[in-house]
Amino acid sequence: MIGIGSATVLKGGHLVDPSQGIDRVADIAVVGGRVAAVGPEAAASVPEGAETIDLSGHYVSPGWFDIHIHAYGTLGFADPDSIGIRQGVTSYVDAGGPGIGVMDEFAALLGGHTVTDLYAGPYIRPMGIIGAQFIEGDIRSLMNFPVTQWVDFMADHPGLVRYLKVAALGSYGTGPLKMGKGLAEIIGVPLYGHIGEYQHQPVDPCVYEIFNISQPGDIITHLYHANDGPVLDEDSRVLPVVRDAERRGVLFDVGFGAFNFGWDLAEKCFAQDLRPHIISSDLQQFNVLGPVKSLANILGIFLHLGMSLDEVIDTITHIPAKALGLEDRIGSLAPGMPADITVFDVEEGEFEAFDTYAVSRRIGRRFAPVLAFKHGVRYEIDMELCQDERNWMMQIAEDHIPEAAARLSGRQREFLGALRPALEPHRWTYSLDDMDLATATALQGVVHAAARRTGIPLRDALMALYGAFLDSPFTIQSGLLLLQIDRDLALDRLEAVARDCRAAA
Amino acid sequence: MTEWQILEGIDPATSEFPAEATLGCETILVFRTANGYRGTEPLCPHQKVPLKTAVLMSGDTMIRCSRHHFIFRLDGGAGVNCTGMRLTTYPVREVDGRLEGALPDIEDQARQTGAVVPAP
Repeated sequence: MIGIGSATVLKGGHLVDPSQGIDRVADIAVVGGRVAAVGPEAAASVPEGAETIDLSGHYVSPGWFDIHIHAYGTLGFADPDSIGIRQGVTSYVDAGGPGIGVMDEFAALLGGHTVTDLYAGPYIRPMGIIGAQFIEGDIRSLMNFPVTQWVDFMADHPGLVRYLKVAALGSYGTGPLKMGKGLAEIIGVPLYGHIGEYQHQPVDPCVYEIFNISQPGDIITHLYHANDGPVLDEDSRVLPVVRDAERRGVLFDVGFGAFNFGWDLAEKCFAQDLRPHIISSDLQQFNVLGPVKSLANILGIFLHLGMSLDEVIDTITHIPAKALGLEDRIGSLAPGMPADITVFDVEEGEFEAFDTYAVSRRIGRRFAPVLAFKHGVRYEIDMELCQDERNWMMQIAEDHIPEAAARLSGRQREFLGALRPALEPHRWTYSLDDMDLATATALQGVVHAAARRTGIPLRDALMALYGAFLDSPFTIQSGLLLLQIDRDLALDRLEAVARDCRAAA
Repeated sequence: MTEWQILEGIDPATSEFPAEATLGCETILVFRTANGYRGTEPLCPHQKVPLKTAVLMSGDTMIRCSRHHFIFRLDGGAGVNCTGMRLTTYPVREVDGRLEGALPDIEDQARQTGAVVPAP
């Protein structure tokens, strides 16, 4: 096994690296987790006795960079690496899972705890994307727009946030989008605009205003959605506002999603040369079983639509890396770059590829990851790990104490014991019709205050909370988790799990 | 008290489940589970995709819509990963080789809608 600090030669693979204009068989020397050399000089760039891995017959590229996934929150996964390194993706961006109100939880839980480098594209709403339609359209959930909180977070966590996500949804016009653009400028990141209205809200003109508001370097995602407000007019022509944005330098991202890619519309767009700059999966629990399954699974669609292999690889390596200011560490295998590498095959045959409207086409090629390297460390591929129900579906253990509770430390149980009386003055009920965001925020505050009082790191406190209620450790916002648990059950469970520690002591 | 009616158009011995059936003037979908039979409304509350292709999961206590993978509990119809969504469910039982169903009783309806049921 290759590790950081060791040296190896990846020999005989067909390297596709658009950043260097390479599309040929080339050896790659890896030393100390970085690319030492590419090409004929690779063998001479490693110490004698270095390991050689034969990649003949396979393609090799810079590690894939998926700028739109969901690792955190209600759309995320118990094991985020299952949609990252284990599927050949070596870096990714969580697209809107957290908002500023829970960025501290996001950073505590996931910062440095995944093999795949995870960046944040927070959502403008403080709790992030909750995936609940009764919240998305309510202006009140913008909650006074805490600009200084954003500024402070950026200063305290340099490099983590790569874009600001907004959604061109209906109900309140263009104001929220303009505010979002202003905030993106203040914190110095691109605006990342979601288009495509599928939640039965009325289509508002703001769905197209996002194309005017976006400036060069900003990104619009879900380009090929076939929901209300598509990029084509009634005669299937690309809208002028879309072309203007393209000419201006706004970038277009696929964001395949669970609702956001239609074959018919994409074919019409490609016929008019409206192509994506970036391909992303928008992997989440609602599409991990299909039609997306993985970033690799959707790439063959774009070969079918007419892109070349080099162009497709560019959309998941160099272009997104440059767009998000990460070209010094992602998207290239130039000497000196981190050895983040994806090895893959392009299988030929006849494959059925579905869009998000249950429409399929027969395509002739599909991508199949073979191996991945992260900082020179080799990882085996497991494309189906993410499809384990325990990985993508959060289940609250209402009738039993999760096994994880038995593994909590004494300090974690002490925290839970302190949390229980702190929660007792609060009343909450869970309604199918109205998720009480204010109460969720208040409960989150109680959790954080209890963690501070007991002197436990926030991550340990949150993992204790998950361990008391969840069979798998989903990184759901703490207040939202408590809100979904019957209050009496929550208080009794906290007491029970905390008591186990005191009984043992 | 539950008022049971014979489900028309369905045979527990020969039907392929999930199977549609008529309960009074309603069309419902019947799932055969490890825990007995359960009826649901035939279309997913999300985007009205037919649930005939839905998948049983979690020990047959839930179904997952095959289109967008929204999940609902068969007991009560609550959305599991789709807050705000709910599926109408119906009790179903087998008696003497026939299936009988019932409209959700008032408490079941209340549980499904979140309404408060006045005390008797």
